[in-house]
Amino acid sequence: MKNSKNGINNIDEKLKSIFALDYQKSGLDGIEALNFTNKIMKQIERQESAKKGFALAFFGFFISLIMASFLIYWRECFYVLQTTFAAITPGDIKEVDIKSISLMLLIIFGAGFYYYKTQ
Amino acid sequence: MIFSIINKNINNQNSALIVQAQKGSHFAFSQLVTLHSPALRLFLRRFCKSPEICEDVAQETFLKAWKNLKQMRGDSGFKTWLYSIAINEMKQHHRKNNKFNSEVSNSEIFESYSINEALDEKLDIEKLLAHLSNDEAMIVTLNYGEGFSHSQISQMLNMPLGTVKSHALRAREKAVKFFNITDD
Repeated sequence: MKNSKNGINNIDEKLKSIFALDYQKSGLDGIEALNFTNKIMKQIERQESAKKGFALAFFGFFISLIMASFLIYWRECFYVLQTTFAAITPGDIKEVDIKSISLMLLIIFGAGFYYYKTQ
Repeated sequence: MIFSIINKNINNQNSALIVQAQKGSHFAFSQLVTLHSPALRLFLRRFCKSPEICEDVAQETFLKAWKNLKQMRGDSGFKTWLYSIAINEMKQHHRKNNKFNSEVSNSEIFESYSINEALDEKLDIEKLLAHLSNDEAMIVTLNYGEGFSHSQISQMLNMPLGTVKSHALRAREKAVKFFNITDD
């Protein structure tokens, strides 16, 4: 009985020591561990940049969609301005397009801004 | 006394790194990888079928750990959590390679150590593990090699505590016979 108990105690020590020896002999610590860490960190960075890229593309798509909707909306607004402008102006200058309305609006806005700054 | 102080310092350092890594610090996580990867990779090398599979499983384990680090609960401990991921990854890897086997037990997952191989050239530990059943080899490695308690092993392997203890006892008895250890 005593023999078997001592045997078990000895085996605990023996097992611990051979596992520790195996760890020492493995050569997986030190530079090898650092190389493995670098590999893992590069993969993490690659995954995260891919995730960011996807998020950016998704966000960009929605922004462009919103911008396109606004442009269509503003085109409609310009059309309303165009018809209003055509209605109030003499017959010979009825043929106005979006470009000229935009230019006129820009000039009006510029003049307004200049007036505001000089005040 | 000195060892307990060193251990306490390592544990404090470890928990500080875990907290930092949970906040998203790459540096802290890289420190954790450097700290835990040698033992984990050695553990996987003992039970994976090839070094390539072992490396794949180790990489997947750490990538999954980084992904799910915020969900880690402090009560189980980082090392136990990490090894649970590694064991699950081994199981998944095995399932992927054996699509036709839906039922997979722990013993089927890990490579059996062939006793017919040139054992003389192997290390003592490999000779012993070849002498044990797969469950016993796994439990002995986790217990003596990695320092896990029986309850932690039972949690990791999804095995009842009593079964773990009986496997451990049987493995120790086999080891006593294997090394022929008697009263010195």
